[in-house]
Amino acid sequence: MTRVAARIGTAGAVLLGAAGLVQATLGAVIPDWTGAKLAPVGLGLLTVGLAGVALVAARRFRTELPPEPRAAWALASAGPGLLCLSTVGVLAWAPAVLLVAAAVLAVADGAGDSARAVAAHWPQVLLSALGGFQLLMAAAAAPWTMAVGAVSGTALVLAAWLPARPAVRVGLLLLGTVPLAVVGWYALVPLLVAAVALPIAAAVLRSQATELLGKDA
Amino acid sequence: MTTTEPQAEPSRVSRRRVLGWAGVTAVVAGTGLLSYRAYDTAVLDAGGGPAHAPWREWRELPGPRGAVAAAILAASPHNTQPWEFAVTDRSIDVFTDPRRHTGSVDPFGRERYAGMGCALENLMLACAPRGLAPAVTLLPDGPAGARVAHVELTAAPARTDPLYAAIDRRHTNRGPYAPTPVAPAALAALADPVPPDDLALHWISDPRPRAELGALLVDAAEALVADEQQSIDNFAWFRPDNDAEQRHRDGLVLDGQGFSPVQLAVAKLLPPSSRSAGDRFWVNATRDVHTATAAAYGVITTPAPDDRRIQLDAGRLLQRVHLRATAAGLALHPMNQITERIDREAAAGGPATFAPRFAALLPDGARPLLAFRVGHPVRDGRPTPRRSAAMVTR
Repeated sequence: MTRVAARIGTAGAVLLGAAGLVQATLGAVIPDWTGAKLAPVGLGLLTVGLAGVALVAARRFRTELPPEPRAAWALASAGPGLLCLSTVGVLAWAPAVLLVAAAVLAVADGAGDSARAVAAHWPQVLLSALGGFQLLMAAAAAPWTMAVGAVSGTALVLAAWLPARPAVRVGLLLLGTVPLAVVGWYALVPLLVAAVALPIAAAVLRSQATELLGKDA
Repeated sequence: MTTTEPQAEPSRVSRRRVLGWAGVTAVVAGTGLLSYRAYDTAVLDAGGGPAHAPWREWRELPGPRGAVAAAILAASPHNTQPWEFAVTDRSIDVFTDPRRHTGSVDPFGRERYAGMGCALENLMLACAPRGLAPAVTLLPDGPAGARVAHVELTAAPARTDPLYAAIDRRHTNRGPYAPTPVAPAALAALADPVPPDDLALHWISDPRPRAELGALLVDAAEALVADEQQSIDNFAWFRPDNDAEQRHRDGLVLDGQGFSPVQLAVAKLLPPSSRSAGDRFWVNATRDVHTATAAAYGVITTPAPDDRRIQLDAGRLLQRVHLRATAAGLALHPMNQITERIDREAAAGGPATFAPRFAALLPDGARPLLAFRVGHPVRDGRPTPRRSAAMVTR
């Protein structure tokens, strides 16, 4: 099952990358196919980046993984697939279906374990979702704000999952919330994302600290 | 979820934690919905996209097409942009597009022709910096012809004009104005030294007549929204979201309503308003913002408001006044609901209720054609969507 998930995920990621390249180069020429986006070049490049994340996830499906990383990589496959529905229009339909299907297949074996793994890391999942929301907002932002939003969204996802020291995580968390909240304060939602993310991140950091203390003990 | 709570009363603690995270999840989901609205309405890219590109690109276009690129940045009723152009190396013909009208709001096309005059003024101002000397003939095919002007172009030394420099900074400012009066000398400086034939510009700045005109404007706004057909025709040009704005590249948009940044974000994040809600907002804004903060009103009058040539000249005059106001750091907002009600009552053949009330505020014999308010802006006006020069050139 996991080999099938890897193949489907790879196909979806490659198609998504191609869709991103088409958006970046021909998005303004074929707007009916690419969602008539205002910034096709930026969205195309963002899509290529997300396709890269999905491709890494698909490659990880080939290996035997414990439930927790398997669930995380499944999210890394489904997330780009769903996000890209808003970045490359009709071109995302096929890759989105493939990437979500790959994610489902990847966790199909031992679905209960995967569900428990997701539940055990629910704060990280929520923090990742908030990072995804920032990427979504960045997709329709002015160029400078788009760049800040892309960095912020990525940093927030990394803050949720990166096995790093608390200081690094705090740094990523601040990078993932403050810059976009400052640059896009007038849109209110970046402020809301930051306000919601901070207490969730505090819970993530607290649980991580508890785990470390437990190990030390 | 990780379990970090003490082991006493495990089921109760666990239930509380589950409920807590369920609540947090609901908040995150709500944030997701708002994020999608922010994405869908491009709150983080106000003034962006192809609909606003003409404001950024008009200076680079050379020759007659560059003059057209300046013309399309002019004011027009409800931002209908009722113009088309035929361009050669030696001439520009300016046409009105009768399909781009506001129906019962402007039953005699008076505002449409004034808007054509605004575009013509920008076009004339944009010729000299491009080394072109324009010679204009108004209504070359007569007052009923679609061609409203023929502009003959000859080569001339390039020169600049302060009004030309203000073209892309001129925006209708529907926001509040500061409670600082505009000095009479500053108002006088906005007008032409010698007014065009058959036109006059009257300033109403003394508190009492200003309050009377303000009350009349509110009454006219209320009458207009109470008239269902006028309300429908008014609302037809409202573009409620970014998709409509980018698709049509014309009309009234939230960015042009004079909101503060936070008000604008809230308006964009909320679902699009209905016609009745839009009407209520406009009447309230007319009473509480537009008339309450106007430093002065300008009224362009004429003895012959139905004359097409005079309507074109009045539009040109309004555009010059607006550009001078912009260059002087003043805000301007055309407010024509009184003449819209005057024309509506005349078209319907009913009793004239607004014409005598407006006439009482003007010199004897002066008939109103266009009205506007001026003042010191609290915040800058924002650009509105535009069809590009290429889209309106035959």
